[in-house]
Amino acid sequence: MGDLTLFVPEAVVLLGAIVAFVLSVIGSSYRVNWIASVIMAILGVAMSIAWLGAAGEPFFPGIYRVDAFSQLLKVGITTGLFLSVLIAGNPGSVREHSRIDFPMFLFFSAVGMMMMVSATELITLYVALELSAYGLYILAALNKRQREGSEAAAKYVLFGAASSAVTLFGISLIFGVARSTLLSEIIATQPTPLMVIGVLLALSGVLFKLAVFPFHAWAPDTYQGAPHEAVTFIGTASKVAAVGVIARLLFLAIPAHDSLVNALLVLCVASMTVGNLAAIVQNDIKRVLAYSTVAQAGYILIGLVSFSSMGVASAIYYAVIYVPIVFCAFLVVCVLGADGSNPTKSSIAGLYQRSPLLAATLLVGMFGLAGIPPTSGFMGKWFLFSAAIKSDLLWLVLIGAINATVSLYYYLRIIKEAYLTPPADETAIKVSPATAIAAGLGMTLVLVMGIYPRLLWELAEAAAKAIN
Amino acid sequence: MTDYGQLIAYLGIGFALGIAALVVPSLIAPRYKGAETEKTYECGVDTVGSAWIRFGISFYLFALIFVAFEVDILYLFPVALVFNEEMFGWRAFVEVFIFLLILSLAIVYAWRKGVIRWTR
Amino acid sequence: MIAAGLVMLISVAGAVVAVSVKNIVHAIFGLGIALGGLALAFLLLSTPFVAAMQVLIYIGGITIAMIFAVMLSSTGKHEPGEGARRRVLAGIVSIVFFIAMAWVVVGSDFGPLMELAPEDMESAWSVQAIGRALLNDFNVAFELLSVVLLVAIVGAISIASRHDEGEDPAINEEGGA
Repeated sequence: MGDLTLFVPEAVVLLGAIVAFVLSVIGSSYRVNWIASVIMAILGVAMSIAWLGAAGEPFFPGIYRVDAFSQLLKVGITTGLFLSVLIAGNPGSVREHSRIDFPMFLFFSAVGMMMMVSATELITLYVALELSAYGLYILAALNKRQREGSEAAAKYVLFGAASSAVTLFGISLIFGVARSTLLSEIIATQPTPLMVIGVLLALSGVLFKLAVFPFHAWAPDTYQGAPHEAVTFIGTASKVAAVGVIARLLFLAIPAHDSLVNALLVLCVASMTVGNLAAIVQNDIKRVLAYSTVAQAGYILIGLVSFSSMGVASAIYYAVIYVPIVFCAFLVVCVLGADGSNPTKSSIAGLYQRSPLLAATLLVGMFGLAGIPPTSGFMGKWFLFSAAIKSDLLWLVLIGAINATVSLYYYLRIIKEAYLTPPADETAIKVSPATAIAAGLGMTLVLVMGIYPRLLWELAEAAAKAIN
Repeated sequence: MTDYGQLIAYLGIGFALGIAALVVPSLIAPRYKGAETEKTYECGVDTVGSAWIRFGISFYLFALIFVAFEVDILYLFPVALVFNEEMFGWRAFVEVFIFLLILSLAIVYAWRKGVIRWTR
Repeated sequence: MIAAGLVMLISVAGAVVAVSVKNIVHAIFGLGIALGGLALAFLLLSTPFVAAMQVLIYIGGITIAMIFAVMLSSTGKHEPGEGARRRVLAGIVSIVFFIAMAWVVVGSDFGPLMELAPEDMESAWSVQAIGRALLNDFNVAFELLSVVLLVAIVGAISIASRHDEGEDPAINEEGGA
């Protein structure tokens, strides 16, 4: 056994889950549970940042690796967790009697994600993946409107179970060829066609989490039917974890292989295009964000298919900055849908008159998603595209740029509704102090990382070096 | 494979008995056809309603908890066989202890949330 | 070889029943047969413990849970299946996938694994060996499994427990029927 202190960030988040569990079991009020959860989540973020430079293996050799890569992604995951918990002070869309359990599932799922990005052994990786997935399935089912919640969760579970099965099949093929589940030993074996298929199948389970094109069918319905606070978490933290696992599998398990690259290129282009085109015609804001996720997953794949150190660094960078950006967008959804309903284009009309703070948050979120400077979304896309150009994928960058332009249309239309259309109902929207703090924090993160990208970029580069 | 010969023999006997239970009555039993013949279940009390009724959700919760614990038990089998071996020392004990501790939380939860209380 | 073929035949036949019949109880029965076939396959591969797991969890647990779910939800109405076009499409996708997989698997060289003697296989996959692996290299996965199952149980209770608040009267009326 190695140095167990390396496990502290995960242990703190697990402790947060246990605290939330105990508070639920002894029947405390939701308020108490929420305050404790916020404190534990802050601790989780703090520990992740403090352990940023840690490196080593806390358990048996080859099973679980703590390095610059895993630690940076853990910061992203815990940030997503913290922000999601912070706005869940009064989760209106979560059904009453399950509310007390809500933070617990967030924490358990976050533990799974944190372990996912550190696991370097396929079985451990798979179990961690399932832990994070179970938490999310349950969160999706807790909608106040039970019929919709059940539908959202059922679709999520069915797609998730099918892709898990495919992942397991892929892992079995990898094991059959490499005779080991340790990634360090798998990378040492000569890749055969069977191995490539195995990696591709194993990847599909993670591509499902990222909602990449043929695996995206769950996203719109789940986003629409799941509680807003749950979707905030699904849309932020789980994407970071998925990007981490894909990067690990791709770069530790297999050297760049033509057929694998070609398959991923197809997925990348299809994801961007399908996501953006489908997002244009949506009316429900959560569905717009779901399709935008599909498109964003395509952008992230641009970095990964570049198969270079810079490409991975840009994908990691994008995954981390993506957390506060999407959070800003979902915060507005959570506040507007506090009664449990889903905000539509018409319900955000005149948001600026009703709550300037929310309108500003929405603006920052949409600008970030569209990649408009000075938000971090711009820097993220810039890094992704320049990595692709360095890898001679100019045509891919062109497709990406066209897609980014298309996406401007629907992002800016939402902004136009919020700022220029007069509101149907002029009553001011009340924003709770915690939510206001969360909004400020989200906007600050988006803007600071957009204006001073250097610090995070250096961390991302170190992370990419750690797995290469 | 010879170990499984016995198993196959038992299986064969099982099938043979099953078939015999169908064949023998059809040969020797007297045949009547009356109102009672078409009954789903013959026990002296009239059957009520259709077999396709819905059951209380409490049954399902028990089934789910059962499946989850069954999976646990199957991981405990191999571990229980070896955890007292010299090579592990106290570590194996601690590992099994943590495993069982986490699992028992599930019972605590079910108990506190009133799942075990029979309401129907 | 004959035994292996027979076992595969049982599994595939069960699987076909599971996806093709209209009555959901019959489909679950077919699934049980398919899973039983897989248990036999594990026996043929000299891994009796995995075979026992297969029987206990899948046949004894999962299919029973499915029957419970049917008892709770449906009232014997048979849902119409997928349309013909989708069936054909799904068939084509499955066949293409199968041919591609079969082509690659047949063409691959699995090396010395094929030459492992049955006795060695048995000791490599013995229950004790699995136990030692769970306590040594795979202890993270082992502990994590208990957390996964805890979340599964707690989640099932949290979602399914009846504390009807009248938020969605339609559901509650049906549930009480």
